[in-house]
Amino acid sequence: MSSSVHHAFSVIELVALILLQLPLIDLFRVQRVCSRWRNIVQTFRSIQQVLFLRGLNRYARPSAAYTSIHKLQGWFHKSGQSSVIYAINPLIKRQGWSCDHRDGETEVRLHQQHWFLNRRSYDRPNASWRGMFVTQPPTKRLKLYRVFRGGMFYGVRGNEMRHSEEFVDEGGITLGFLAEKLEELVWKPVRAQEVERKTLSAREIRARLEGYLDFEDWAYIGFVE
Amino acid sequence: MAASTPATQMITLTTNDGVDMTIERQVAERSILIKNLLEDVGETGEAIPIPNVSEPVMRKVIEWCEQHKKDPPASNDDDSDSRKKSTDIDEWDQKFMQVDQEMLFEIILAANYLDIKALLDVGCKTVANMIKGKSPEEIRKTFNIQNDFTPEEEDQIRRENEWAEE
Repeated sequence: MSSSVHHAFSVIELVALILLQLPLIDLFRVQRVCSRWRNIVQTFRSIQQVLFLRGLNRYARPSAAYTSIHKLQGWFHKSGQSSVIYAINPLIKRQGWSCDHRDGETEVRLHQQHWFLNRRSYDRPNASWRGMFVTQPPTKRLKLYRVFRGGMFYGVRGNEMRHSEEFVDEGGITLGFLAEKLEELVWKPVRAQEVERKTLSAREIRARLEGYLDFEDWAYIGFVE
Repeated sequence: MAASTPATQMITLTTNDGVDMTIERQVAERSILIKNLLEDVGETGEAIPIPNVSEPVMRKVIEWCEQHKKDPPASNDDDSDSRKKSTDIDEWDQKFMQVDQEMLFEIILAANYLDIKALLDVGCKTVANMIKGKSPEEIRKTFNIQNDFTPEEEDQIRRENEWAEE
């Protein structure tokens, strides 16, 4: 077989340079090719940063990993108080979730139907996406809101907002952490409510809804600095 | 010294198969290795040996350097601007990289050795495009890579990353 291929692939820095040009999803997949590639993906700092598995230093000059992330998905949000620019994990966008930035917070709106945990391969406890940070550089504070029907989405801040919880993780908030909290605080209550709803007649449901704000099965998370 | 350098100054390189190639200094200086060598040794007029690159590969590399001789010189910084616009390979470079696999990797190795960052980038992108969207088995076949995982190891890595295949 061609010798230059063999030669080039024996230089791990060259393999790393090549892999750094891949879209994020392919970078996860190529770990199955051989142990050398697996080790490179697992150990090269720049690749780990592109994969959101290792945090970028928020005050460092833009690095190769930083610009690769920019190139891969281009979702940047400037935090209000500081000049730090955040990249939102592209998996969040991949779920069909929408993202917005205002008042110094980055907000991501999630819809239950898009939640990737519905799929078996995502559901595995050791699935590699769980270790990915939700933003790069990693945000340490996360606000989780439940939004209720009866208020417009953009009207819910302040008066209408219900059930907001804030979490802090000095090591950075990961998708796995977010998934856990969403399951606990959002999807579980939604499912419970749906089960309850099925046991009621249409008239009973209407009667109940008149008295209450109904859960709209939107959740939204805020990344706060 | 820079002011006294005429634009068409010529230099000679000797490839590892003993071929002398005379090219414009400006073109040769796309290679940081050659640029530094020229600065260190001064204008002796002697041929510069390039022990890691053969004549056919050097011809390709010089062809690229000719095309890109007017590009702004590569800086040592990871300048976000120059990287941002290089998401795709430009048309000329794409055509240039339509070579067999052996030559493609020869160019990558030469660009790495000669320290021509932009050419190395184009080469790496071309290879990345050959990897993109392929299954691990297809990638192994394409580049003749040995699967050295035990079935258990491979299964574990597959399960961890299977979500990325949906």
